Amino acid sequence: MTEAGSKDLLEVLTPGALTSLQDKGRHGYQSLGIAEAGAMDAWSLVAANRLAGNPDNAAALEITIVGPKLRFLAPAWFSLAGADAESHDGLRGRGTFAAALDSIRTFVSQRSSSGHPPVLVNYLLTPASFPSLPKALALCSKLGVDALVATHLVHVGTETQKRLACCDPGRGRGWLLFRSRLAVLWRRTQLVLPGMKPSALPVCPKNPLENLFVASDGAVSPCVYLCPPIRGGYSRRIEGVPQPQQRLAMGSLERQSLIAIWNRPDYRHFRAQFQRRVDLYQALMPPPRTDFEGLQQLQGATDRIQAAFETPTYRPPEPCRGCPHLWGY
Amino acid sequence: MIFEQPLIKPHGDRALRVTFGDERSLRVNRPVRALHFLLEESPLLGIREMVPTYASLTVMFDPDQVDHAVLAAELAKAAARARGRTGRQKAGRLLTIPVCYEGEYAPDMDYICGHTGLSPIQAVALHTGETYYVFQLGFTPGCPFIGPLQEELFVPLMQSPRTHTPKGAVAVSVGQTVIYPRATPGGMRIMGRTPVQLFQLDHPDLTLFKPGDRVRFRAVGPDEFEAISSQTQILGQGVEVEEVD
Repeated sequence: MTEAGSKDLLEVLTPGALTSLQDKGRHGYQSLGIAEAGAMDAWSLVAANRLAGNPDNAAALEITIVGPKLRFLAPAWFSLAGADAESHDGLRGRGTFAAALDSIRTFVSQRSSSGHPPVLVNYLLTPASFPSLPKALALCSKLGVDALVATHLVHVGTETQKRLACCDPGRGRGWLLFRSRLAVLWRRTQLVLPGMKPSALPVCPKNPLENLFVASDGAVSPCVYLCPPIRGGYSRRIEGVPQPQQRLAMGSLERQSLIAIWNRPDYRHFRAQFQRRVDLYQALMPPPRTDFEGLQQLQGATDRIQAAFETPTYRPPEPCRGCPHLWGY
Repeated sequence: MIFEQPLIKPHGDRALRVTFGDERSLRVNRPVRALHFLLEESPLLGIREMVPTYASLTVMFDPDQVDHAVLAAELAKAAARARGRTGRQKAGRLLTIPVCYEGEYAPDMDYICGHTGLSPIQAVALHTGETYYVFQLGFTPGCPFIGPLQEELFVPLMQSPRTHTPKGAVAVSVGQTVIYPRATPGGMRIMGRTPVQLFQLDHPDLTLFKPGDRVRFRAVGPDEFEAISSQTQILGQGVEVEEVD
C-alpha cells in the first residue's frame, strides 16, 4: 500500500466504524487461549495485496459497516477488495453494494488530471461469476475504472477447487470472452484476462534436467510421475479426458550404469526438448513488475509463450504430454 | 452423556469439530486428549491447528490441501481409534501452584462458605486435596479451565460479573476452577490468589499451562505469597513441576 521510504502518506479524516489494520494473523496458538486475529476475509486480503503489488501477508485496512475517510498526501498505489454484490448486500443490508460503487466513483474523480494512480478492479472468475463478465466490464467502464483485472483459480487440487475453477473455455465461455474483448474496443476500461487454461508450467518443478528418478526395481526415469510403480500401460484423466500413458524407463540399473543411461540418445533427446522450452521461457518472460504496464507485459509474454508451446518445436517431451503437472494442475 | 458415535460437524468453512459427549467429565475428555495425541503423533494432511476442550477437539484445516468431506471421514476413523485406545498416553506434567486463600486474597470466601456450609479450612482442604486436570485454555490467553471440581465446592456464578478480577485470582463455580492470568472482568467466585505468572508474551512457552496438565494447589500464607510474588516475574517461577505418567 505504501512506497518504501515514503512518509506521511495518509491522513485519517474520520476513522469509520471498526476500521483496523489486519494481516493474515498469528496461527497455531488457539489451544493456549490465544485468538488468531487477522483479516476476516483472507481471500480478499490476498487479492487486494496482489493488486497493489504487495506481499500476500502485508497488513491492510479492514473496513467494515462505515468506512473511514482518508486523504492521500502523496501519490500511492492502493487497491480495494471484498465481497460481491449479493453477499455484500446479504451481509450488510440492501444498497451497500451501491455504496461501494460510490467509493470507486470517488477514487476515480479525485485522482490527478493525468489519471494517476490508475484504478483497477479485481474480478474473480468462477462458474457463477463468469456469465456476468460483460456486465462487470460495462459497469467498470461507466465508473471510469482503468482496467478490470480478471483472475481465477488455476491451481486445481481439491474437489471444491475443481468446482470453482473455470479454466475451461467451453460451455459458451468462448463467446463471452469474445464479447468482452470486443466490448473493450470502444470502452475506456481495459480488460486483463488470465490464461483460460491452467497455466502450463514451462519449467516443471520436478526439473528433469537436474533430477532423475530411480524406482525400487532399478528403473531409471526422468521423473517419478513418468514411472509409477505399475507395469506397462495406464491412463490418467485430465479435465475428464483419458490420457493413455506408458511407464517410462530410460534403462535399468540392473543392466547399465547410471552414466550410461543418462547419456543414452533417447534420454538426451528428452532433455533437449525440455531445455528448449526453458530457454524460450527465460528469453520471453519480462522481469517482474507490479504496475499496470507490467501486468500487460506479463499477459503478452504469457500469451506468446503459450502460443509457442503449441508449435512442434516447443512441444513438451512426448512422455510429459499426458502429465497433469505440465498442464499446470 | 458420552455419545455412542463421536459427532463430527463443520465449524465454519475451514474447521471440523469432533465431539465425544455433552458433559464436563474425565470420561468424555479422555478420548478428546487421546485423539489430540494421536493426530499430533501421526498428522493428517491439511491440518493446521487443533484445539482440545472439555468434550470436543476442533480441527482447523487448510481447504487448499484437503477437502472437508475427506478430512471428516479421516477424523471419524481416528476418533474411533482414539476411543478404543488403551495403550500409550501422552506423558504429562503435574504442576503445584501456590495459592493464598486468606483475607483480601479471597474476597468471596465468606460467600462460598455461606453457600456450601463448609468452614474456610474445610473448603481449602478440599481445593488443595485433589489432583485436577487442565481441560482447556481459553477466555484470555493462558487461562486454564481446571476440574473436575468436587461437588461440595460448587457455587453459582455471580449475577452480574465484576468489572475487575485481580490478576492471579483463583476462582470456582459449578464443576470447575480457573485462574485469571491478568486483571479482567469475571463472574466466578474468588477463593484465593496465586502470585505466579500464567502468560508471558516473550517466553517461548507463552503459557504456564497446557491442555492435559495435572494441577494441585498448595496453600500459602500472605507472607509467603508476597515473598514468592517479588520473584515470580518469569513464567514458571514459583511453580513445582513433576513429570508424571
